Amino acid sequence: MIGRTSVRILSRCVKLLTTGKQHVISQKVRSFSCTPSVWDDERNKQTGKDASEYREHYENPFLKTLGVMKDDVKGFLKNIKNMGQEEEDATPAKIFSEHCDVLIIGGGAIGSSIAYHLKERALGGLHIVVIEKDPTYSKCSTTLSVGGVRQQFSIGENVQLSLFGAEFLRNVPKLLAVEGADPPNIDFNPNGYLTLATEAGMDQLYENHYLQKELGAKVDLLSRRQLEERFPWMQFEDIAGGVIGRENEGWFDPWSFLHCLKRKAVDLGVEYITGKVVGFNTRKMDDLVIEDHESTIVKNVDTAKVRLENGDEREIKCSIAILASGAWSGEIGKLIGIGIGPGLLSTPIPVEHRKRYVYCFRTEQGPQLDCPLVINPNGTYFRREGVGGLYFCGRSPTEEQEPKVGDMEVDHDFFMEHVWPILAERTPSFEALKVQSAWAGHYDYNTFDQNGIIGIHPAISNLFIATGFSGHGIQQAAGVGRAVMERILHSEYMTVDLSRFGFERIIMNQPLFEKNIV
Amino acid sequence: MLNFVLGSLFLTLGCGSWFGVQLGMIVLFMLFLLCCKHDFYMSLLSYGFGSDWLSYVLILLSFWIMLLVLMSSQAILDKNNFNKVFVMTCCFLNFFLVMTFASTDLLLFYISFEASLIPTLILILGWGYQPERIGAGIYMLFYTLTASLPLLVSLMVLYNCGGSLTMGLVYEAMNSSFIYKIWYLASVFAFIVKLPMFMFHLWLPKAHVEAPVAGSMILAGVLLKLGGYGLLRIVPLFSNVNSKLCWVWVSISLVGGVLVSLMCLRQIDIKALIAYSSVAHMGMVLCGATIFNWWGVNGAVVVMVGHGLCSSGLFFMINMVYERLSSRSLLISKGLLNIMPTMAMWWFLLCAGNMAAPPTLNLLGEVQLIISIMNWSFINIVGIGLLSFFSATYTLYLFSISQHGKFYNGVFSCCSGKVREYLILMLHWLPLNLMFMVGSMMLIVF
Repeated sequence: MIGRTSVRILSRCVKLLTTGKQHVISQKVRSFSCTPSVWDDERNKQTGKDASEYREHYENPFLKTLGVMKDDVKGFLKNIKNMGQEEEDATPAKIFSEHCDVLIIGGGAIGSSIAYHLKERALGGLHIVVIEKDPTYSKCSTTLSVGGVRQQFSIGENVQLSLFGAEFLRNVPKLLAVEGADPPNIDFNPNGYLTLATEAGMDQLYENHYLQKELGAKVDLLSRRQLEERFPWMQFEDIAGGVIGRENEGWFDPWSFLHCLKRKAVDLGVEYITGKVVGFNTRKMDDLVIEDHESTIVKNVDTAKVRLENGDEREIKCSIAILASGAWSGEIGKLIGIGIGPGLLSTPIPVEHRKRYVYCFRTEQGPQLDCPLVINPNGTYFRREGVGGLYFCGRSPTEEQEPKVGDMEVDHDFFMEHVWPILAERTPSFEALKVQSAWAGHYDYNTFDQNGIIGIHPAISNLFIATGFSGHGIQQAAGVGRAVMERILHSEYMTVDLSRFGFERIIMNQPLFEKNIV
Repeated sequence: MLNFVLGSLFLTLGCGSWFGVQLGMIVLFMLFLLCCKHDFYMSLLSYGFGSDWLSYVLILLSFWIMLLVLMSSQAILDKNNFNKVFVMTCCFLNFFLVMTFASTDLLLFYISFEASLIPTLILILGWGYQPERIGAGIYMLFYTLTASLPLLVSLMVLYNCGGSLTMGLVYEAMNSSFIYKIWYLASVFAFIVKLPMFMFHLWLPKAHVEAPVAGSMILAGVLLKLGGYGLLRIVPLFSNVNSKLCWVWVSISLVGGVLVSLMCLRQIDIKALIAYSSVAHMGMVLCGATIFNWWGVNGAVVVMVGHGLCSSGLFFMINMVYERLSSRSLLISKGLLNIMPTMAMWWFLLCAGNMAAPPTLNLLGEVQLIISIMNWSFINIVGIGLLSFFSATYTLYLFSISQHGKFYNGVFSCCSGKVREYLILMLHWLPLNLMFMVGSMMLIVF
């Protein structure tokens, strides 16, 4: 009798020590997870699970204790064995960070810039993890952009952000230098932007120009005669005037910029994880109530579920989450609950993909070194690329002409019908050209007012949103990174006050439009 | 005494009910409180167990802190993160701690001293958060294990020379020739590392920072006191050598304490700050315990109890911040006065305890230690003065940088604390501030 009881107690103890975790989720933690969108999934369809680059995840504490020490010893022995050799062994050595201080979702220019600025200031004080689903950045807006930087905006904060962006670009060789690696080179061509205006748009041009000069941009207003004198290879029949940037405007190589930012961030200690965020767990902050209504109880992002390359799903707990996923921000916002919850959470993030084409053509007698990035009043633009007679051009389509975003195919008819005639009219030497190549990229298009959304979400108190730049994200990446860093570390915007760009303007329906020149 | 030891062992069987085990802890604590009979050398004698004034206070401390540990680890119960295994681990740890303090036999003391490491390791590796906890566990395990192996040898030699290892009947090594100095170092080294002393303290910041709140509280609250307790038991056996060699420990602790206090001012992780402050406090305890005059020994015991309550309370407060903000970094969890104003009061009270402000127990102990250390040598004024000064500096720094300033998020509302949290804080603070009135209870009664 005593023997049987003691055996029962013993077997209960053993079962307790070695069983796996029971999945009971308490009411405090609710998980929102949606199936990922279809067009995104080709990369993540795995036929079989490959070996993970991360160590195994144990649940039971006893097994965790034994397993973790066993894996540690194995990893140590493997390192000794592989000293100097490159061998692929079965025992993975990297530990998956299950906790971090700042989680940045999206590793493009904005995400990497935020990571760089935060880590540069915080150094060892913050553990920063960036989740990027495509390390080749094949569909990222950053790498497919034309890479221009200009101060010719009509909103003061945009001008200031771009001014800092240009200054940052000039200092890249010093700031982003990594010891032991090639010096950073982003091919900054400071040739300026030339914004042209017809008679109808001159008032707006004056107004914008005045604001830009006030904020310190080095821009010049040119009359039609001055334009004809300065750019004899263009014709300005329908133009009344233009603004050209003397300094701090031009173009650079966005892929190289992203690469340098990422390299420096990794060198400082930021961890980049290749994986796709497929869900979030949020946590209700019971004691924080904004209004006296259940639907506006403040939430916090607790953990993010990440699907790794080999199909494993892991969770990362974070203190602050930063949504910098560009064109995918609307979808990821829905995963968190923005757009499907009640009250303040019912407004979705109005960012979606918009396809834009960039065409590269060659011509014999085209403009040489004095060619700026010319923007016509109807939005068609072109710029010089290199010194061999190559040019980039493109045009933002109207609402009716918006292409479908299902693929990355280029519509050459659009060039023939809508871009080439305008180019040829402006620059006679472009009448004879040969299209070398073209590509399609996606804007993280803010359907609300085409300006960036930067700020903390009012109902999710630890979620930063930094997205929706609608085509001018690459030039503002440095400024936005610095602004988010100031907001987190100093609790206020210190250099450029971006309070007007917060998510609140979308909930309160107060758009912040750029006044475009016609 | 055996009833308390076995009582704490069989408390593991109640692991199904979290509340039941907490109740059991309180009951055992209250019952043991009634056994305050230390007007003779040892009381409550039993098979290998007994208690005198020193073990009485520390067994009470270990029951109390374990109770607070169970109350503060409610998150493990809520998330159902193997809560039964957790309670079992805590109860086993409690059992080994009680056995350590209650044993009258030095070998039993040694065995339970080592055995208490294993549940601590499981707590750190099993419920800790960051990947660095692996290194932290290894450091703690190997530092303590390696340092205590010479102690085992020394106990065997003591047994060989004296025929018994029962406390009070152990052979007292009266000479002070070279071999006796080696013997003394071998015996005392384990406790020097456990306390820890300045140059062997590397395991402490790692283990405290990476442990979950339960691990941190029990480490700061009781496990460091094992070192002090062992020192106070072993040093009287080597009184001749000790009086010749204690200058080593006093100098290293005082200078090291000042250096560690300066390092506190550089920390970004709040837990690391508290961990380094523990090293500074225990440095003072070490000085008092090795100088071994009356004021020193009493001051050491009083500071041990006071520091146990205070550090454990501070670790609990940091865990409260962590549960709300999910970050321990001072860069994110600053400006807490804006979002948790009531907790700022508790932060202040416990920080005041940490810097030995009246009327806390820490003040009583620190004054006793200052008297003891200065009495031993006048030069120590520099060391102990700087130590006291810097302890106020880093505590004020901790309070100011965590509470004052702006919070990164503009939510115009406050987190109130939960009643359980207020209870735990009160249970930390009340003994710390009321027990100085019965300070004479903790003095040796001859």
